[in-house]
Amino acid sequence: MTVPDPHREPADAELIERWRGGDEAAATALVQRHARAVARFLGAAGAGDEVDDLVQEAFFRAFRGLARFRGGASFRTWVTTIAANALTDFRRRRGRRPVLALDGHDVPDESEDPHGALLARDVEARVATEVARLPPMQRDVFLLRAQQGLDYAEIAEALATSVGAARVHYHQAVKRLKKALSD
Amino acid sequence: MDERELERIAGGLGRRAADRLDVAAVSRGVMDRLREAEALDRVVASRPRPVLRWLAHAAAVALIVAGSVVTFRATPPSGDPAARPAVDLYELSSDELAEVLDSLSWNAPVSARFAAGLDDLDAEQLEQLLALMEG
Repeated sequence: MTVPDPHREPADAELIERWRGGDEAAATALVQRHARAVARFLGAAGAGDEVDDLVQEAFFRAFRGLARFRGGASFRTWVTTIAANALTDFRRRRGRRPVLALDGHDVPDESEDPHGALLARDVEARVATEVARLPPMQRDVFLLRAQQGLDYAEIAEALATSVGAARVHYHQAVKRLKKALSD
Repeated sequence: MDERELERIAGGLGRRAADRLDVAAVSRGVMDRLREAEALDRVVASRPRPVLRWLAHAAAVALIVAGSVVTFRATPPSGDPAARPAVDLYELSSDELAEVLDSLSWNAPVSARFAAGLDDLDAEQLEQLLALMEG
């Protein structure tokens, strides 16, 4: 007979069921588990100073719409796609394209090779700027694959599209980024 | 830059945003908003049915007006200004609105079509629509 491990972290599915039963601590645990990954996606997509608000909005929408979560994608992927939609909505309301400040990007350690680090920082900033300029679908597919490590089937499931369409969006994104970065 | 290099750089984007995130504040914000939304759900659910019915009427009228505006804009103006619809439903009382709805609901195909869309509105949306109509 297997004895349950009291220190085992509950799986997402278990926390979701507990939240459906009214357990607020379960919802809090889900936010704490996945919020940074969602923030990372939003940061890469050019959300800038709005990251905290958009993460909050994504989890709020996710819990309110939990009935629509079928479990085809992981909970993290599902919330990430909701965050992507929230970012698109936000930009539409603001009526502007993303504007990125260099300060918003990751700063590598410059202590060993300051010149190389500076170059890397510059390239990273340019990539981030161009990623944020992609059309929303291309941006989301590109980041879900390149940053979150999802395969095409998972991306298709998360974005309610076909595997073939996800593949096309990805290659269009890469082509566009390469062109923009070579100019 | 090749695809692999692009993926490598993209894979590292957003780290700083993740590090800076105040997870505790986000958690509190999410839970506060969920409690507020659920409290509103309970208020709406506890409203007597006639109030909900009136909300549905008000929503239907708003949808009819929106549909009429779209139709009116899509229709080339006729020569006779009197033939154009002149609707200011904001001037009407709730009883008058209900009367307008009753008179339109089942006779005019356009209103029936829009009234059917009410099923898509939840209690929160009905409340928002009412608030809009009440100014």
